[in-house]
Amino acid sequence: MRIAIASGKGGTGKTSISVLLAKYLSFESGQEVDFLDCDCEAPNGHIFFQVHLTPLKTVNIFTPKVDTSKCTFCGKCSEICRFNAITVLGNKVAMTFPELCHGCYGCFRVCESGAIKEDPRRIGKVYAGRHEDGATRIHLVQGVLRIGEAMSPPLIKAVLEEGEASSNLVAVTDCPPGTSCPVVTSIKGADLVVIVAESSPFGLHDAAILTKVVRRLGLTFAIVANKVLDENTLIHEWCAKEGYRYLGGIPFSPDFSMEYARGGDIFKAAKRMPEIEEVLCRITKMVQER
Amino acid sequence: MKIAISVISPDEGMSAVIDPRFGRARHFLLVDIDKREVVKKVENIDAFNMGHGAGIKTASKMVELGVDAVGSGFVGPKAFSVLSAAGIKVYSGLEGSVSEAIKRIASGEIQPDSAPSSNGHW
Repeated sequence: MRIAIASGKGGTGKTSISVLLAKYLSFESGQEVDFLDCDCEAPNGHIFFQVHLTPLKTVNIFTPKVDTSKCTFCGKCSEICRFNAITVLGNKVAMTFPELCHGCYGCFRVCESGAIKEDPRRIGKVYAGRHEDGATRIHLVQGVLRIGEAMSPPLIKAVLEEGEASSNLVAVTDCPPGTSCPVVTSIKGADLVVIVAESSPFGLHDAAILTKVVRRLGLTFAIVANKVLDENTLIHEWCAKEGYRYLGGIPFSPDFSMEYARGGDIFKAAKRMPEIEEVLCRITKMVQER
Repeated sequence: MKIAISVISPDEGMSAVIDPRFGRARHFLLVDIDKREVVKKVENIDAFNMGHGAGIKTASKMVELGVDAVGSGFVGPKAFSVLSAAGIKVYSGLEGSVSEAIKRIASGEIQPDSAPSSNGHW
């Protein structure tokens, strides 16, 4: 059972909800819960759990290198590449642009002369560690993208594979922001996607785009309104209008934000906000229903 | 010498307005510099619609067209590396009409670039 926490817009509260939910689920079930930090460009879930992280593996992606002594300059590699990462000029030059390569092996497979060699590039590392605190146990896995690298999906897949290999029954995935490939990779195969929508026109706009993506992928989803100011009902009304499952609204709290920014005890701050427990309880119910 | 110039209004011949972007220019005009006339119109919509690598796609097309030089406002680093590998001269910083640009190139006022004129994605 994997629950993915996603948002569209950045800074809506994905990590807060993910961390609080993982701890809540572990406490309620008495079981260890996997926390999969797929926000590989800026993983920060570990700050809220006392975890000693150790490197598990280095993740590489394939990029092509052309052996011009074998190349017939037929151009098939260039034709199949959707990202223009390889181009053939006339009958003497084959150029590659590794930073555009998505590592699909297309060029490698269509090459009939065996001129394409593998030139792996390190994109990042997977780390893991365990947290134990009284009645809660968390197995945390995170991907850390190499600085300067832009291609995170293969690293995200490696983090998710660690989750699949784990014997724990429940996993919480903290997703990256946005709605492009990294998010699609992170939510694909999830049993439930919790969309954390910031209660603002911008938050609604991006949550609506993400909802389209989630529906296209055929995933079960529900929506939480976060940082609700002055009992604003923007997200709730949108859910009612569209017929989406609404899990409740969490008010904006400077107290909670300050605790988060300090890397402090957000669990204690959350206890002062009954709306958070209501939301976590509803998510748990949805998990139990499935 | 045959030069391909990125243009916004390809139907205006030598009066066509230059498109400052190379990789994502919708159209090119192939011009014979010596005769000062348009030889051919080339569409570049496929590269314009590319998510990534539009400059590489456009530059590769220039190689296929067999031009001696290209002219545009700005040429990014990836396009530039493809063009230089193929020995195609790059004239950047062009603006206004095609005929004005051709005059400046033919008179030697503008020299071919030795490096990309933009960082791409501008």
